[in-house]
Amino acid sequence: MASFRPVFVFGLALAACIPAWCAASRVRLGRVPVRRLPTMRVRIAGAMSVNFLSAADTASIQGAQGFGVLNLGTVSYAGPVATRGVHIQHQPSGFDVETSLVLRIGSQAPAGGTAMVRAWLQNLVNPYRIFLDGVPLSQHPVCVDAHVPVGVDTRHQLKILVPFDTSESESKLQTEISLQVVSN
Amino acid sequence: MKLPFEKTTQRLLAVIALLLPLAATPAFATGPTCSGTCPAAATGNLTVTATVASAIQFEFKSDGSGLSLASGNNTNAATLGFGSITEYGSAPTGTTISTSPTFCTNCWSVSTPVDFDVNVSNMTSSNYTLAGYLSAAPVTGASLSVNNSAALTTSATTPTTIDNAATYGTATYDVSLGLANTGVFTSTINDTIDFVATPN
Repeated sequence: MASFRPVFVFGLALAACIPAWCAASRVRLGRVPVRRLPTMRVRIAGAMSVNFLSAADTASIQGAQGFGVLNLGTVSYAGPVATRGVHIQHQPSGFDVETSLVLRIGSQAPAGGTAMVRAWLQNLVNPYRIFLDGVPLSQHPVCVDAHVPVGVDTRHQLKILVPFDTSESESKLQTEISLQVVSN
Repeated sequence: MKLPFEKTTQRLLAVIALLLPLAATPAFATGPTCSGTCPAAATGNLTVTATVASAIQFEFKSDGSGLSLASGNNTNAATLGFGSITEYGSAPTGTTISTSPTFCTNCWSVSTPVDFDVNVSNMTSSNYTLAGYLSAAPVTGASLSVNNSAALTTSATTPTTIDNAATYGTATYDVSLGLANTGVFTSTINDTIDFVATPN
């Protein structure tokens, strides 16, 4: 036999809540026009975007807004590198693979502002070490540039240190650099 | 006796009744907010790929106790000039004259040390084999040797082994020019040694 007790309890709870609910949201019942409480205080300073671009003297970056694929090709200590815009720099412990990449931070806000760029690696790629604008990257976000102009192309230097003792089994490098831009 | 379904329903309603007043509060209704203006933000992802090829590097360096390389110091294409030499005269600074070298018969030789700097990158190799051959046959009566190896030939396919377990890094090798005692050399002796370093 079904019991009406739960329905009764729910009804009581609902009846007790309606006045508080209405008062909080400033909704008046009856013929008075509805006036909403101005709860949306968030004001977004224009949507932003991140674009990876290529220049005539940089390596080609494939991809769309927010995503890019940069293939540095085959690199070695002996060099030279066949890929445009990729250079080898000899170091005591190995060699650097260096290239420039062009970044454009888009915004619907008026031009002239700046944004902070933070970067991190989605996966560690030992024994390689990766630097963006001289800042070593890890899996923790680090500030690469605190004031990158918005709405214009900016050049950034990507450097990968390849140690001498990188083995044949580690010869394939693939990593993903994530960037977060936050308007200043 | 109550059914389990009824118990569940009853508890669910009780939870709803407790949450309803909470839902009426502005904080719950609007969710987390920024105070003032929230900064705009965006993210991007760049996939980076590369293939690292193994490499071996060979450089000639002037040795402190030998002749200075005439050109190409610290490169893999250097020039070594012995200058004017004679068996019984004084040896030029940085050279050694031997009247009984082992790589030629009835000959004498002039030698000088040269540093070879060989390094390997991105390869598992503990040492390397150093071999050499001549780009052209030397003039009659002349021969070339490195570290008293057998006289070098022009065979690029079977170069003369100079060191079959050379250590990576900088090592000193004696480059020797042998000259037959009966030879008459009226013009400059000129030849090129091609060195081959093969990782073991």
